[in-house]
Amino acid sequence: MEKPARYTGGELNAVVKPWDQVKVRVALAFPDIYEIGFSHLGLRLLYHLINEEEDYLAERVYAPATDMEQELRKAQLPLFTLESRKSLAQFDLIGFTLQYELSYTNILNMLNLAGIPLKREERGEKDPLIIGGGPGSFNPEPLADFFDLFLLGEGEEAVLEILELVALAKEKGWSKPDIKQELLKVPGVYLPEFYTVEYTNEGQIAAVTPLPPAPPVVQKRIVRDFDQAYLPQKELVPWLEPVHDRAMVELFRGCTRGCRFCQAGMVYRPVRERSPAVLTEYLQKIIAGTGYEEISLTSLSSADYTKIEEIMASLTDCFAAQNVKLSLPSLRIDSFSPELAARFQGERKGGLTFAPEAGTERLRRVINKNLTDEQIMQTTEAAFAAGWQRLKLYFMIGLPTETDADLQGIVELARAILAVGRRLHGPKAGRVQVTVSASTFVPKPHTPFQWRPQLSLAETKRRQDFLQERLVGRGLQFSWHDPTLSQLEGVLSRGDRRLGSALAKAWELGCTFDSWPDQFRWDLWQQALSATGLKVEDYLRARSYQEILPWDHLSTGLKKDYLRREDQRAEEEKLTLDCRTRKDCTTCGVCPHLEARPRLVGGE
Amino acid sequence: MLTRTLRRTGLPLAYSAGFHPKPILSFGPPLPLGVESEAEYFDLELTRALPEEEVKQALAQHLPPGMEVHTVWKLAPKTPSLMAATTSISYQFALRRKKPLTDAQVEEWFASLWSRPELLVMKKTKQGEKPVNIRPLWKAYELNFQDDGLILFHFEVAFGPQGTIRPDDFDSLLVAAFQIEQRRRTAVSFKAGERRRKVL
Repeated sequence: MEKPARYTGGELNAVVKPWDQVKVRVALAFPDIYEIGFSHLGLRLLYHLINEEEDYLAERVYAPATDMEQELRKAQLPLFTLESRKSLAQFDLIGFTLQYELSYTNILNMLNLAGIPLKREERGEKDPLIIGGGPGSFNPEPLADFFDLFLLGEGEEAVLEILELVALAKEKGWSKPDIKQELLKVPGVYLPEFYTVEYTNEGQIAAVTPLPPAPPVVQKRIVRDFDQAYLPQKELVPWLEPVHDRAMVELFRGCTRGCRFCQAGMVYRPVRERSPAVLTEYLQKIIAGTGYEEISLTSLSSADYTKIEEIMASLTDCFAAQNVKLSLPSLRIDSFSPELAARFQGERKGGLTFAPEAGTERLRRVINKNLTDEQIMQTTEAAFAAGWQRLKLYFMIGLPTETDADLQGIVELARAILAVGRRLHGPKAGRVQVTVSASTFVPKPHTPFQWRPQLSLAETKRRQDFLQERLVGRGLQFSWHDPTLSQLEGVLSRGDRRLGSALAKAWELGCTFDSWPDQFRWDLWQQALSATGLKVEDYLRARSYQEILPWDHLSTGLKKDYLRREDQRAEEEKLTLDCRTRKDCTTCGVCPHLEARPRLVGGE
Repeated sequence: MLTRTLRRTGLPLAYSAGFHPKPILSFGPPLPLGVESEAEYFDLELTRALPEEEVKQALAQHLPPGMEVHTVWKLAPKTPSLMAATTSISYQFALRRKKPLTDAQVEEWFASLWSRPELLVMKKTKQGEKPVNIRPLWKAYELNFQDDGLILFHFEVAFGPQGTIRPDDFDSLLVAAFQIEQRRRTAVSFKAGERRRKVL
């Protein structure tokens, strides 16, 4: 067996509570392997939040790797949590985090490994309630057959309300239908069985009808004052190296940039920053209690934090003596400084990654990424001048309105950057390397591009070939994503409830770990889709503004009219200003809807 | 694991120079996967002298559950490294009989193994598998019979430039007659005098 420490638990600061002395037991499940799941901040927050409550316990479970799955099945052992090693079936609630669509077959596999019937209607009173959260819950329709409820928005805001209801239900002996009636009253909770979906003959949605007393629209939950948001007293320290092996803290939630392709930038509004004092106090406590040697300041675009220079300086002062490093997960091209990068992104020997996203200024205006070719050239030149030899440039192909001229723009940009690098590195020009990484654009729900078509498989391949043929030569490298994975991601991303049968079928045929290119079986997935009478093209097609979308009854607070206006501005190649620079703005609708406002440190 | 424990203690750790400073510490022979241990050593460098008891207390307080600090002592300058000073390692296997052998028969089984001039086991090398004679590196053994039928097989293997035996090298020899229930490292022995306590 590979890496048995994935299943042993016993990490420092893990919480093992007496099973019989709590009222409600929750299994927090990440549908991918330990190293990935452990790195996920959201689930760790909920883990400590629940365990700090006397009456509840939360335990963790990750998707077993294929070798462990085989051993479990052979020994007829159920999938168990790391803390008490009890079967998932023994918990009151199983919470899955929905981080990416290609993890969905793993959810089914995990339920099955615990002996829990996959479909909600096949489960009985004794089976746990299955709840989903995370970005996937903003369009959970492909999972609607399997889950009892979804929580829209920020989990720390609502999870205790849900547990309180479950505790009450157990005390009073309520049946599942009784609990669900009460759960319907919790803001942010979506129970798919209370909504019927009808389809037209063409397979579009004819109507989504809520069954009273279900609300017609479910509104997401948010933490209004991020300084008051929950932070744990301690953090886990793993035995086995996870993908992100460091202390993490969010500088802020939300992002003000308004990139039109970006779901996170849309669904996590408004921006709410944490004050430096809260950050510093928390990190001092966590470093003392864990011994981590690195702190990652995570956020959607961390360098946008209002007082980024100040917080970096004060944290450096605070932790330098203990040799704790600070890192920023991403660098912005328009605010790049070689000094900042050297300090926070590691050695110059390593590479630097920038994300121009698109190859021409025109297409960057379409996606609302306000970045000129000149800025890109200046920044990359500064990076080479400061000593870096390898740069990675991240692009998407298949963005709305993209033509071959935009692809040619990627090629020319890469060549120009390479030329600058070679010039600046003189005798060591041979070591300069520019890598172009291109992923395929997948239109996401709740974004201005939610109505746009996704590239077909053939067209994706043609555009990848276009780049591959031109990005050749010494110092240039091209890397791309398997286009079939993007096809499935696109199907599930804007999918509807009919996909539930296809998911179940794909799992039956043996699909798991779909996000792992070496394990992905597009042939089996195609078989599953055709067996359920569904077509890839029907999910990747363009939608009209009038069409009822599968997620229209789920609200992030954004006005649909705003998304449509932004989509039209994209067509007109017009930029929309960063939310930070606008006063009294009600354009997107989030603030009035959620009775919230952007909060920036040091005034507004 | 240990580095983070040391960082939590707040002890005045000496760090290596360079872009990624790390606490200066060194270990003895690595413990193979799947083996328990009650005898692990490491050398640690601090920036100033502290009483041994204080260091021990700090470690005891911050080690993860299941790990205990047994002894802390100061080393004289220029003490040879743990790897250089180690001469032998002792292990204990808990064995269960696969066939109904009496204790006397088990004694006899091991005696015959011990008396063989050559014990070949397959070892993985860069060129593939090749047979290696482990007998010269096997220094001693002892058997204990427990009431529940378990046999505790203690054995000592050499460690040093002449080579060593990994505990699982014994597996192929034992597997015909016994099932190995537990593997444990029980002691690490050093060259006389080389790891002695600094005279205070």
